[in-house]
Amino acid sequence: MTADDERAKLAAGHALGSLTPEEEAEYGRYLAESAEHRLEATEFEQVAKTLAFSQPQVTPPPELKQRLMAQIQTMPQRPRAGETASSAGSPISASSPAAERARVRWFRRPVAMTVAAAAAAVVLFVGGLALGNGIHPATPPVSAQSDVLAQISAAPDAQRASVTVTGGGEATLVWSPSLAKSAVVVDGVAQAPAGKTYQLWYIHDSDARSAGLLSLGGSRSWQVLSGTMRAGDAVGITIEPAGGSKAPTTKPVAVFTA
Amino acid sequence: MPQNSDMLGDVQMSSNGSAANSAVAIGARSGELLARVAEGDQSAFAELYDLMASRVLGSIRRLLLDSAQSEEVAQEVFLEVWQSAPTFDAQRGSAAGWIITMAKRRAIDRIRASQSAHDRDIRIGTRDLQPVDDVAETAEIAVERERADRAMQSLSDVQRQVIALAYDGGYSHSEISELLQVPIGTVKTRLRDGMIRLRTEMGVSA
Repeated sequence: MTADDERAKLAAGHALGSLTPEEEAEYGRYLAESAEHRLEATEFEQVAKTLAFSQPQVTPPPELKQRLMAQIQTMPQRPRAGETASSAGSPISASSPAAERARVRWFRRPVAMTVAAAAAAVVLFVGGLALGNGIHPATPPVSAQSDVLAQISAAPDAQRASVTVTGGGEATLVWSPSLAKSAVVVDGVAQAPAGKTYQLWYIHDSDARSAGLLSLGGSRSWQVLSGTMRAGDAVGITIEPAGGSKAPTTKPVAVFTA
Repeated sequence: MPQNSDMLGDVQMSSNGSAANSAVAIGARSGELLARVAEGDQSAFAELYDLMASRVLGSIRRLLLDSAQSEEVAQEVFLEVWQSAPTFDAQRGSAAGWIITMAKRRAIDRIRASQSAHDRDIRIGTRDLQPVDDVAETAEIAVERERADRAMQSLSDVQRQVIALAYDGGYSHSEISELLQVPIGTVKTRLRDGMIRLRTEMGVSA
């Protein structure tokens, strides 16, 4: 290998802008020696210019989106930069009704409703829900649940509402009227007492049907409700004896109207 | 759902026409969507993902090669988009540019992390990443983009990787050598062979 071969190898780095100052100096001397060297440098610079336009695309597997949609359900967003400072001119950070609204994220949104409860934690959502078929429908596999959660969240008509759970924590219902599906996300809610379980209900007038049992995987967890949702219905969570009940055995103590 | 890792290897080459259309749309659309994501709008996040995911993964894959790792990094990028959307300042550039730059940065971080056990003295971050060009897209730019992507696609994975590290990361020969744990002579040869191939594919003549 000759010294020229070695110096020719600097041409690529020169065009891409990645030579060290020492290498640049050496390459400069190499260029001064011959027009042929300079021609190559010009061509490589042309390549680098065109490279600036490159925007590679690789199709991700569908699972990636599903995982992300499930993850953001319980992931808080950072506060806006300069939330209190005014930064006129920026469409995002400018003080505006939209910016004002953004200060209260959906998962931190307090819901004005307090109906005192006795012992049982019961949360009732009104949004548009329907009836599950079985009394205790089997819980679908988690992967299928996350598909459904992603679908609900990504639906154009997706809505969500949060309430404070009696006994501590917060519960959020995410639903899509067009999909007739809903999911509940809980945060900071304690496990049901020994021998008890949380149970989800679709409630329409005085008729309540089970939407499955809610088992908490951790302080933050979520579950897609079994069955379908119908406009005008409500969703509630009660504490029931282990295994669940055919009908709620405790009265709703909190009501949310969407 | 079956795992289809082959899918990751497929680079989407669009026709000139659709490339122009999508490119024009992306700049403005990404900004609108990110503003809604900043307000906690999950539908907007889903749409922003659809708009940007293949570009994010493409940029990462070019630097990382490994498909599983690239997918992990893409996931991290989108989670950061969700979390940091409220802090995005539109005055600093386009939303699409912000996201792609984040993807490249995290891909390089990942290479660095995998090599840190080998060599903690590696000089990194000495240069800023190449800024993403945020100018409004025209059909001509879209044609150039396709020409560049097609030429890059003709390279071997390792050639493409060193060119991306030199160009996107501004890394020197010795830095790339340390990052990838390959001899410096190999880095130089890959860079040169890659540039010669690109010159041919792009039909460049001075």
